[in-house]
Amino acid sequence: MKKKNSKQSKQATQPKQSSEASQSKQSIQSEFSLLSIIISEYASLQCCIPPWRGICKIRRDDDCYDFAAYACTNQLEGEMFVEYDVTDIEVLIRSPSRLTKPEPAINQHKNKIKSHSSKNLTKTTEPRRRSESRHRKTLSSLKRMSLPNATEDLSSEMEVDAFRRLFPLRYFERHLAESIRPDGRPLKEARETSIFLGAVASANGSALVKIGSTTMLTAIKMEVMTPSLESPDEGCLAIDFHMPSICSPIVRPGRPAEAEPVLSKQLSDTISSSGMIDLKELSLVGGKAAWMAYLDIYCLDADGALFDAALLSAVASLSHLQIPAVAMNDDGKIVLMSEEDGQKQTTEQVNKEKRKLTLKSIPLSLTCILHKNYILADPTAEEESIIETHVTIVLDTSGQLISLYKPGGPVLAFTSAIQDCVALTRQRVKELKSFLDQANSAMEVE
Amino acid sequence: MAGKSATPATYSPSPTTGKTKSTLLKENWIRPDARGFHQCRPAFFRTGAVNAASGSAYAEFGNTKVIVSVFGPRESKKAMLYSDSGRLNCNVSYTTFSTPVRGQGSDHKEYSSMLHKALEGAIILESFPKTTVDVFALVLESSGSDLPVVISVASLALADAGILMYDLVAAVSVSCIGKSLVIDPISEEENCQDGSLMITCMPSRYEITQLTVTGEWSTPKINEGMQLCLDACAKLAKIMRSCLKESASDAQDESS
Repeated sequence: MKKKNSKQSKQATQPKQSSEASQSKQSIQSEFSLLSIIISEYASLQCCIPPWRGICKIRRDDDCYDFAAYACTNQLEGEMFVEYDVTDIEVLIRSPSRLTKPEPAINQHKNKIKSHSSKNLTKTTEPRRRSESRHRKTLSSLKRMSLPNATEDLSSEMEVDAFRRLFPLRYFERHLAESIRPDGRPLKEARETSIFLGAVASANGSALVKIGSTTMLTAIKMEVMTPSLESPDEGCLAIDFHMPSICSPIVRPGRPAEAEPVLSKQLSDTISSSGMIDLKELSLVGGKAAWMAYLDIYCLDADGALFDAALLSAVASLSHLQIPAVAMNDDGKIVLMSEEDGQKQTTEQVNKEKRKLTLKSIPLSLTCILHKNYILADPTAEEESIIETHVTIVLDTSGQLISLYKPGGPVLAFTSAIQDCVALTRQRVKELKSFLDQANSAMEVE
Repeated sequence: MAGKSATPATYSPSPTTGKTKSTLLKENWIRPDARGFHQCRPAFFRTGAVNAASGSAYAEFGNTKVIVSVFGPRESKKAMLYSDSGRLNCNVSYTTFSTPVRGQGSDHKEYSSMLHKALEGAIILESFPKTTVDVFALVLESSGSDLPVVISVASLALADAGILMYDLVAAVSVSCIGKSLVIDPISEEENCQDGSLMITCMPSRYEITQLTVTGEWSTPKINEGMQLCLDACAKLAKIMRSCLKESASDAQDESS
């Protein structure tokens, strides 16, 4: 890189570049110089440069590093000037030579996923060097770093990573064309799922659920309340979803994530409308005391499909919930019965034994993302960030539709797509139900 | 509360802990979990608990369960002035179900600042100028000695994230109850303690990053307590180090 303060040099080369651009309008992708693509892509990546201008204003350090990494790995030719002013860094680029755009060989990449070795990933770009006469100065420092025979494996590895960061959508679509996803899954397959009941010792019911690396920890604490006048013989279930700052780089302390209240509401709507729990079962003394079940879901690791994991963990913790044995003392307060002093006190037993709730129907869900004609089940956070159309379908174990969310997104969900999603969800619900049964029977054995 | 405009006042049916104080003040008392006075709870560490973070660690000390994520080094907040050395940002919060009686699950400001001060001296801040490293801790279940556990786990998470440090930071506390000193106290013991002492140190350098003493202490008691803590810290650091080595060798196995 070279520091330069005058901007004259860039103007000298710009007319030529734009004439080149007009010649190759029809085959923009293959004929534009690689740099122009980078720059226009950068424009779409919220960098404040108009496409094809040759100036890249870099606002954040990250942008600069991304750009430098990309320039290195693709062996850009030309000059690069970095201009410092007080606030921003401006990078002025002239690219006299044309290069083909990178073609990450998808088949090779697929092999890589399967064999977990980076050796198949050899050079994915063959920069074609043209107009050597205009190739006056090269990015000497940058270029030296990326000389082909220096670190062959490393540079090609970086290339895929840089491509992934800079052109996420294109990277993703290349995979889709091959019917595989960046993490090696087929399109309609959900990630590995595990349920562990009783994770929180001090709670009345708890569950730890993992879908891929998305992790949810749910605990239920039972407290006593005076039931409302409208429903004197009913208890209450309060569902709260929390995203603490440990779960994702996006969440900062003091600024709760937007998803928090949205998911809380969706979850309590889903569970109350599914008729899973009869609130009358939470009653203790009609009109005087009833259970208030606080169900708190903590997201410990956020990697997509948060609603599915949260619902599964809520349902699992409810299936694990044991209502404690309590008695009413002389003051009319409900107290726990402990083994030693349960008998001797003259208390009125309200709930004689520990008992479980009867769960009528169990709601379970699957989130799909729609992109063009593709349907992808159980998206990761990366996939969710690239594609905005989500469809979440909640079914109960008998296959009844409980709710369906399609919050906006550019792709219209056609009837056939929705039907496909429902069919996928039906399969997934069966799978989840069997996981849940396994976890519950494992608890009973203990 | 989700979906409820007015939450009715509720109470927990579990009895309030009043009797423990008296049992602990007897002459020949034993600890509620039957440990020796100078015996720590079994410690379990695991790194790489949160994939979304640059580094993370999880630990269980008896029933105290803590998870710590480290993010960064990443861009400092816009409002921050230019700085040649890196910044450290710490936050400690509790889950609503961490305590026996359901709490609010809010941030713990005091612990956040103490965590910051305990770690600050151990991190080579010059290695990441202009940027910030965020250390976020969540106490999943609290059952005594929360802060020392949080500090130890946080230093492990920092190591997992590849942040340069002079040494791991291990932290241990002792409580003074009557005439006896108990190490690594649980909540019941903390509730009736006469004084407490916490040391966070870098054992291989034999340097102390933080020392807090509260309550009533005599000079010989302080000396005894400090020696107990330092010994325990050295042992704790060994366990932490072996946990790091394990995860590093696992990573090597996978790549080869």
